[in-house]
Amino acid sequence: MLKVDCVSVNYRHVTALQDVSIQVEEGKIVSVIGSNGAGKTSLLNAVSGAVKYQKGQISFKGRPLMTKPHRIVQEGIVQVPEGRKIFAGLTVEENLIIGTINKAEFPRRSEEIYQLFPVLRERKKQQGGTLSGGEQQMLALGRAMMSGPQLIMLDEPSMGLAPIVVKQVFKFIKKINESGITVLLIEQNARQAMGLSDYTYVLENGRVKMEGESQALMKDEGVQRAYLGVQ
Amino acid sequence: MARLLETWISQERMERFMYYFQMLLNGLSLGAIYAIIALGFTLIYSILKFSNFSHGGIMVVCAYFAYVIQRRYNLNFGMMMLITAAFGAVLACIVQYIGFENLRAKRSNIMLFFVSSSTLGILLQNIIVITFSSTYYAYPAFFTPPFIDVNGFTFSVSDMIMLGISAVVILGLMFLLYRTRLGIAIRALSMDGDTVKLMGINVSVVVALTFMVSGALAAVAGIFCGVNYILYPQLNQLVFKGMIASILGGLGNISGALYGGIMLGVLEVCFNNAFGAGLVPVFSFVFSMIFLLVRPQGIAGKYVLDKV
Repeated sequence: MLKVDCVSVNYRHVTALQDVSIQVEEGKIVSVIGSNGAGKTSLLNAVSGAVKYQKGQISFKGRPLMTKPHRIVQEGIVQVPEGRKIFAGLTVEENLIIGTINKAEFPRRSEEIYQLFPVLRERKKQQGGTLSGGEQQMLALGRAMMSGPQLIMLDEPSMGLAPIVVKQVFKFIKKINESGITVLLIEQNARQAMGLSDYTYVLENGRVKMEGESQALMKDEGVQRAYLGVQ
Repeated sequence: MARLLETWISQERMERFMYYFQMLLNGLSLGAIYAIIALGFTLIYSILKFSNFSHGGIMVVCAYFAYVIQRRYNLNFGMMMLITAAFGAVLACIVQYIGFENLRAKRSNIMLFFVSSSTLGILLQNIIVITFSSTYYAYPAFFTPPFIDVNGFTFSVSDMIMLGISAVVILGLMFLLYRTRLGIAIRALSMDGDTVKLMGINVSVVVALTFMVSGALAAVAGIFCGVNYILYPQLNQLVFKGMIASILGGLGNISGALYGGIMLGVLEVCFNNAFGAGLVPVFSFVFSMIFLLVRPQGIAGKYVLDKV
């Protein structure tokens, strides 16, 4: 579905990504793991159009992807940014409105979101900034879902959340995937990410170091030592 | 008891009361003009984070435009305002395209936006100087009689009408910002531009539309300034009143700009009555300085707490 082919991203003199190729198949959950500064977020930003890539090609459903961020969302790829990035001064409902592309779909889609996250319905008129971390993450997920995406890209959904909330969030991601949306998941929390996903890429210093079926990769000694804390 | 009441509402007290009431009304109508300048100024500040001094230039051009079309087609006040507001919107859109579109695309330093906006402001002002020379013009008297008497107290009709129109314009703006998709997008953009992009919103369109709203406000303000004072090219300096008002209100805060404008207007009328017109700017600035010392974030401003 999504094919990133030999993409390189530089920020002036710093190379963030170097010839990275990944592939996301329809209906799957694909995770990209790696430590701080490995280039995970740069990879997502390159796909969503937030940063320009200097080399390579990104295609979506067999066609080259647009470069303008808003066009990419219209194509069906949406990003849930790192740190949630809720509009703190807007109400929960207004946050959802921002996520909607097609005005006519708002009632139906918001109803779906409220069904999935009942707590958001309770907090409909509350300002986004007053929600707890977990609720904000749900709102961020809901906001992204409002555009009716085919591929949803999550940047560190576990960041800054209590372990029990992380579990909950991952359950929601699973649910979202089961409803037919492909998921590209970026995580530092490698164990959780690999536990959830079908396929995993390991990013290190801007390159893909390893890739494979998540279950198989979890058994790899190098991965265990570097990312799963096994001695 | 009866005697007490009688002395309480004695003629003298009544006159006093009406005197202050009139002062307050004058202050409100002046404040409404400042508020409209400040709102247009703040709208741009809130989304792009720079002080848009081309706003003053747009005000002047619109004020003269209104004069010209009024003369040519003998329009009434309402028609003149509507057409000029539309013209202001288009003009602001062009200014945005020439002055800021490129800078935005390159994510340039805020300083460059500032320089670009000042330059455009001066350019627009001087286009007016070249075409109309720097002499004074005046709108025809729209309102007859210009004053009405109520119990021996005079109210300026134009002041009252401007106050009314301002109220409508401000309510309209609030409706736009808080009840429409565009308004929500503008507010979201003022909070976090990068995330707005990721939500599938075409930021360039929202910015252009915001400039159009701000331009329409500049047009209304320009006409009001022309009616209130007189038409001359230096009218653009009134943008500084708008700037002071928006700083007093809390820079970038839309309701703050409203409060700041009204506060400044009322204070200026009070200073005018207490110390004379010549000293008003001095006292306004001194007051602003003291106010900001006590409350640096302005009336409605908030310190922005960013998570590290």
